[in-house]
Order: sequence, then C-alpha cells, then structure tokens
Amino acid sequence: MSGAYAFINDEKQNLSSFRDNLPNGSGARTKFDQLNPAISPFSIVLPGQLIVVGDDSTRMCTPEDNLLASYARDVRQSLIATDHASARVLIQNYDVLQSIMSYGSIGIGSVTSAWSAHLSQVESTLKDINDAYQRWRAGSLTKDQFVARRQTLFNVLDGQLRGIGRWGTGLKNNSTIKKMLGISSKRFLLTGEVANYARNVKRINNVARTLSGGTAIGVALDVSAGLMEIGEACSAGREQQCTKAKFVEVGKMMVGIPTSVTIGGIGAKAAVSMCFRMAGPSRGASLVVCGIAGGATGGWLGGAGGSKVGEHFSNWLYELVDDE
Amino acid sequence: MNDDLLGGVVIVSGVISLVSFCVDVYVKYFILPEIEERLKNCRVVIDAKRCWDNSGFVGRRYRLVAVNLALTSTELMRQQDMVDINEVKSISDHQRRWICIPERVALTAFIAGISALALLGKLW
Repeated sequence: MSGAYAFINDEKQNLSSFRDNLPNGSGARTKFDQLNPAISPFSIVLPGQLIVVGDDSTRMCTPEDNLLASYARDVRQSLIATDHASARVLIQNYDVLQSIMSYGSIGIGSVTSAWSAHLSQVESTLKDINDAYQRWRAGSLTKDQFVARRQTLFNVLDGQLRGIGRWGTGLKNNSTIKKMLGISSKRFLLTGEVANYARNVKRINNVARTLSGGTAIGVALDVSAGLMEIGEACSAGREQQCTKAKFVEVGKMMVGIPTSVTIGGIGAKAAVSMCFRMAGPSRGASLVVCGIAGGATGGWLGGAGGSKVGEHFSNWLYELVDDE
Repeated sequence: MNDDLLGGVVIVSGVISLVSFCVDVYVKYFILPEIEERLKNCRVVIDAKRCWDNSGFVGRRYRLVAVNLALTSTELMRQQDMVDINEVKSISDHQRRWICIPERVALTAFIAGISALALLGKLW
C-alpha cells in the first residue's frame, strides 16, 4: 500500500518490531519516527494511541501524513489524562464507542468544552471568596462588608453547584458551603489561608483544562474516523470502492458536523426553557447545566441523524457522478 | 409513498442543513453582538454573556440560546424578571427574523430528513 494510514494500538506493547519490518527499509523507519515522535524504539505504546504509517511512495511528509500525525497527537494528549485501565476499556469497547463517537463526537465534545466554562466559573467564585477573606484580613473590608460579600458569593456558588453542576468540582455535598470548603473564620485569621482552597482550585482547574479541548478533539475524532473508513476502503485496492468511500465519508462529515452544532443549539434552548418553567430564575447556574445537558443530547442526535442524511446525500451524488 | 420523493426530501434536507449552518455562523458572529448590545439590561442575556464570553464558538451557541429565549419566551422571562420588556420590544422584526427563522428551518429540515430516512427504512 502506498497511501498514508493510521491504526489504533490495541494493547500495551513495544512497536519496534513493527517499525523494523516496515517496507522500504531505513527511509520508511525514519519517516515513521518523524510521524510518531512520541514513540521511541524502547518505549511502550499505550492502548488507544493512534499510530501513523506514512505514504511509502515518498520520503517527504505528505499533507495527509501530517494531518494523521496531528490527529495522533490530539488523541495522545487526550489519553494522557486517561489512566491505563480506562484506556484499555476504551479499546476493548472500541466498536461500541465508535458508534457513539463517530459523527456524534462533535456534540459530546462541545459539551465538554461548555462544561469546562462552567467549572471555570466555579473556580472564579472560589477565587473571589478567597479574595474576600484576604481583603478582610488586610483591613480593606469591614466585618459587615465582608459578611455581606461572602454571603453573596456563597449564594452564587450554591447555584453553580446545584444538582449535576457539582460534577467535576470534587466538592462534597455538605450541609453548608462553609463546611464544604472547610472554611473557618477563626482558623483563617490564624493561618491566613482558606483550608482546601488551593487543592479545590487546582483540581477544578485541571478538570476544566482537560475538558476545554472537547470540541477540537470531537472534530478531530469525527474527521479521523472518516479518514480511517476511507483508508480501509482504499487499502482494498478497488478504485470504485475507494472513490465511493471518499464521497460517503466526506458527505457524512459535511452534513453531520454542522447539523450536530445547529440541533445542539436547539436542544440547549428547549432544555433551558423546560428547566426555567420547572426551577425558576433563582437557580441560575442550574439553567446553565440544563443548557449543557440539552446541548449534548441535541448535538448527539443532530450528529447521528445528520450523518445518516449526509450518507444518503453523498450516495446520491456519487451515483449521479458515476452515471456521467 | 414514492421512494424517489422521500429520497428527494432527504437530499433537500441535507442541503438546507448546510445552508442553515452557514446562516447560523453568520448570526452568531454578526447579528448576536448587535442584539446583545440592545438587550443590555436583560438578566438572561447578561448572565449568558458573562458566563460564555470567552468560550469561542461553543459559548456563542449558549449566548444565542439566551437571546432566543428573551425574544421568543418573553412573557415567561418577564414573569421571572429576567428581561426588560422595553428593550425586547425595541428589537426590530428584521433582527428577530435572523434569530428565529434559521433555527426553525433547520429543525423542520432535520425532522423531515430523518422522517424520510425512517420511511425509506434507512435510519437503522
């Protein structure tokens, strides 16, 4: 095979023998190393990592080689945040997951990005609470001003952590926010720091940062899933099958991804509207959570349905071109 | 029902989805800021802008949802003191159309496309 292709490593292993047996000798090995910089001859490759094998008709990296290498990098970065056991589950259930991820991942991915924004808001409120304590200690706030400011911030945090809004924050559901944050005014005056503050902020920040690339990873997964389907069809060496796969996969992406975004927005609006009628405005942050959940459902439905429509559309287009 | 007709519905639905997405991008980047500027005392819009301002394209989706709610569920929002009714009334019909029509067209096209695929037996 001359074209570039990629495969998913299915178990923890060293790929040096695979690398050594590549056709075209040292040129292919050098190119393999270039396209897979994270894999050295002695390193262990984790399950789930995307391995790129370059176009063996040239020593130069083709645009397709580079594109696959960038997807591999994205996948690797997202796997770094995943432990070995989770990565293994992912691979063992790849077929099932693929049906969810392919053409629906943009919807799910955009939700992880949105959730990241929600967690950043929680982090910001925690920082404001800490800031209020610091200002009180420094004497720039009177006791009454401090108590009023703290109460306002606690109300904001209470709304942000209501229901599933707590997910990813690692904050336990205690009877009061003071207990949850481990805040004690007396201890603060002695030690000068809010207990657990740094730990909570760091944890929330880590989760938010991990989730923030959701949309990009979602799009990368969608596109790489399509490219793999094309690669699989083209590797069989049947010109017609290869051309048809290109039409179908591009059509699925072209309709699936935009539909996922549009229907995700409609799902978010429907969910927020429903939550508004049920919960009322006092639960402001819960509405954000409702919007994210509705966006996820809409995005997934839109992505899955849109890719089916796109498949039909591109099949029709292929037959039209093929007849001419 | 005629398979060709259903197939045509699916194709038209796909084309409309693509056009709707382009319109959606235009609305998010050009119409949304204009309307947000005019709804600067509506709590639902202010909260959404504060929360999603730095979240790029995804954030704009949720900001558009807030504006859409202010314009289409005005009575519900007014009861909860989430909108300034005078500001909502000041939004022109032209701007309302940009917010409301693409969404409805996209939803109708999506439902029509999926229904046609189901009738063709190609949905599952």
